[in-house]
Amino acid sequence: MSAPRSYDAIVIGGGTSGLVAAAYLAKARRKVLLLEAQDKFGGLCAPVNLGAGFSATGGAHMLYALDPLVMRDLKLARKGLRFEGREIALTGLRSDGKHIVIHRDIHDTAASLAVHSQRDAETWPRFRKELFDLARAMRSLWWESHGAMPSGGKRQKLDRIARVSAAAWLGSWFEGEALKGTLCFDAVAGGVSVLEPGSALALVWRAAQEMLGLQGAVAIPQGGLIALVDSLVSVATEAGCELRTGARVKSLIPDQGRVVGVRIETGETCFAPMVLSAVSCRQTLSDLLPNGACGIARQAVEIRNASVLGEASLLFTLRSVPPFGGVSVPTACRFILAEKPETYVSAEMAAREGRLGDELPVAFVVPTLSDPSLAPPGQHILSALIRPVPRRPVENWSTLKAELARRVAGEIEKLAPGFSRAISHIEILSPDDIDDGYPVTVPRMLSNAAQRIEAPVAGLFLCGADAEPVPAISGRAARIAASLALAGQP
Amino acid sequence: MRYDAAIIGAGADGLAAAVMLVRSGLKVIVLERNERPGGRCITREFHPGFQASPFCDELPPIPPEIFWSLGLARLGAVFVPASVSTALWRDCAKSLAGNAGLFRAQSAATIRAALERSEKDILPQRKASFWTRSQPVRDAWPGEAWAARSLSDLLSGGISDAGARALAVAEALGPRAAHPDLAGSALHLLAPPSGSGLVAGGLQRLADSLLAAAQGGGAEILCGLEVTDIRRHGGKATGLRLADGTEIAARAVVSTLDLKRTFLSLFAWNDLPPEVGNRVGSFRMAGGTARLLFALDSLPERPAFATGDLFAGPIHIAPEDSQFGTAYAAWRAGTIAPHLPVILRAISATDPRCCPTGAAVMTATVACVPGCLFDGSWTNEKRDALREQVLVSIERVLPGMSARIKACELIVPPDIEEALGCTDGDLWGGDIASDQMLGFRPWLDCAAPRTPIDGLYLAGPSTAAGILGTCVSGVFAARAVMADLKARRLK
Repeated sequence: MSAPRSYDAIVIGGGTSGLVAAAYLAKARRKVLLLEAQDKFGGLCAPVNLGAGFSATGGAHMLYALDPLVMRDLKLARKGLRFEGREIALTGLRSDGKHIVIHRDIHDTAASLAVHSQRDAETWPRFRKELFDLARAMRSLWWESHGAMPSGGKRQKLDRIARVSAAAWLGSWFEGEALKGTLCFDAVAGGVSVLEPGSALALVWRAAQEMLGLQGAVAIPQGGLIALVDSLVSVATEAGCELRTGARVKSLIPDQGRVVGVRIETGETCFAPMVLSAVSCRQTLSDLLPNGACGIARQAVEIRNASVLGEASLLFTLRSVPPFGGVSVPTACRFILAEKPETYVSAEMAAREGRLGDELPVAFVVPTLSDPSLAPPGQHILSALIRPVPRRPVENWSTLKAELARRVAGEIEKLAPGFSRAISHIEILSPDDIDDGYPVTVPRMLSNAAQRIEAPVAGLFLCGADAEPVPAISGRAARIAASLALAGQP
Repeated sequence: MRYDAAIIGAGADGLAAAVMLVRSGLKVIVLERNERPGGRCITREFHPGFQASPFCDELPPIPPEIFWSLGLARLGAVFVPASVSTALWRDCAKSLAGNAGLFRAQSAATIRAALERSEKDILPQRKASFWTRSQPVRDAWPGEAWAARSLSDLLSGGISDAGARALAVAEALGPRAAHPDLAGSALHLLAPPSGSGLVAGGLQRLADSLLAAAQGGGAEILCGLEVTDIRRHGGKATGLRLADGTEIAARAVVSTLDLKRTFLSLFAWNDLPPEVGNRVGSFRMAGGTARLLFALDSLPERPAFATGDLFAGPIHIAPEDSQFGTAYAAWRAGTIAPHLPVILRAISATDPRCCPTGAAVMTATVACVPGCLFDGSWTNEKRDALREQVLVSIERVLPGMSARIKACELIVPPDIEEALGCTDGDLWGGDIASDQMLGFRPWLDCAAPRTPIDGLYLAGPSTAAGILGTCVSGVFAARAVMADLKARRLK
């Protein structure tokens, strides 16, 4: 056993959040150690082996929440991070071919909506304006460490939205089921239900994000999310961080109510006055800390607050161009397969009983259409996200995975005949591979960053996905956690 | 001739409002569509010699101060105290004992606080002046604790036994369709489906005593007259138009119908301010209650394992934790789940006068029965199937029940809608969700009993007070009318 080593800060987890936190701390001239349990960096954005020539990550393929300040402060553009287009459209696919295309341009969107309902087309600009206005009003709370809810007239509107479900809120605006079904997909992030208060607020949260200076935009990085991870790794290394892979943290070392260091599975111990954890809140507080160190009550809440709904991710590699015959939509686009809000309800009700629903809402992208370098020439990747799915199914996930792949392929086949025959490989991530089931709730979304980040034990900060109001690849919690940690230091 | 107040609907709320108004010397007229006053409080003979209240057996509690200020006890409304409810399975029975006290005390305290708060809204608000510019912003209510908690989460904290927990869920939801795992479902604890206790002689006695009090004070009660329009003049409600063309002028109009019925059927859509029209349009109703009235030869035998007086209180038939979610999912989809929540009551056990000696009257209240089935309207075959299904589940815990049935009447949500005018047959005047409860009922910037239309007051179940207790919303609406008359805001 080697002698304990001492640092200024230790970061647990080498995903995007952990890397951002480490880079910020190192840039503030602190001696930082980052510990990653796996043998590669990236967490959910770590590369998945799909065969030679393919480059893909397990979870998402798009970025919509990356903190503009992280982009700027860490100078990621200088490290070669480029994006394909500034905004990709959202398309609700329908079996009758009357697809809904939601562009950045409100007039184009209204024209696409007018096919279904003239009233919705007229409402769309008002809805967009209201959504974006409310989202900007909430930025203080979501973007700053000690932000607060807005006051005055906006407050009254937000009070209602914090209590209304996405299904009901969209229902009060629009009549077109297909439009509501398409918009609902972003509302059910993080295990929240379309019927629950909080899901409308999740839509507002989504609209409060700014990608590349555009509110509510979605962008695909050139070279996939691996490029983002690579640029973060190089920033952190250049700033002088010590990055270690294959170092699983076994426990945190508390001392008189403070966390003073970590113990690694190899038996090594490292000491630092501040520890930032990018692993999930539950894992940090329940598994890494000794029992009761963060208070029994908090621990009980963490255990009880387990989500029953999750999301699954599917990666298909395709031998030929996805045959979207007859689908006249932009290619760089996010596709949603959900005919109406009730699709989510029925999937959710089945998921609560531990089954896969008869109807499953699916969102998918084909990143290779805009960036062919991600796959060998002529071949493609299709990345799909399915939610809600059961987190604790009646049969276990290993058997359910095959059924899920069959069902999703079948759904896409309906719109793109010949799709199934083009599949060469399928990679599936179950809900537990994606997140830790810390559900999105109204209190979580209405708490400010400091409340989410500061752990009940001194010297410990949470900066992973569940320190965000809604889990996403954002880096904002990590940036704020680093500044809070530094502010607490002399 | 012009009345001071015209009240639409002679249910408990409408009559209570009339009593309060006539006592302060106002000229009041009450209009009722049915032939008899009472609304959901009516009791009728559903089989020769057998009486029951078709829509509910028990009402939400009447706050004591309102009960005494209306003077109901003197006029013959005698309540038999509410008895404990029992959950009955094939081989065991359970009642909620002291361990359920904590959440009950919590919700009772919140209901009290909520009533006090709604009472404050009645005081005449200051009109926007040059200095204040706008009305003060009402703060959000309910607070987070109620808005975001789920019923099962709240109960699992206090009750460890699964059976008792299922009973507590069944008791909180009553005959409403809701998913106890969804955030915000804890609000059902604040909307007690029962708790007043049974009225000796049937709920009609309560209606009759309110009627006697109102008529004694000089209120005019006209039955069999349907209101078709609320007349508006200069943005104010000035009177009513009846189905036979009669016009009634009034300084104030009090509606005890639900929100949708009041605004969407008594006004033309384009006559409403657009914001109001949209808000009312997006208010969600959640009707899902069916009732069965049984005339029996005698009471079924009490299972040997059931302790205490089983038939004195409501009996929840074999509630299970998962059943509520499944039944709710089916209800949303317009189908009927195989295992519905059923509440059985032996009316005749506490009130022997409702049937011939030796015979018995029982009612079954069934939750999660969709008003609108996915495959079309309620036909006789579908009614028979539902009756059969409920009977089978009762028979499972009370064997020998079917053999004693002399007559059985089934009431499904469309029947309730037709009889009482509740939209979708929702006796609770709107879905109970965190954006439609307490301070948000009917909506945040509309502090019932006042509405965005001057001179129109809303009582009844779509208001915050209306769902917390019986007669409360009527009394509150009456107080608001009196306050506004005094402040000369009503011409």
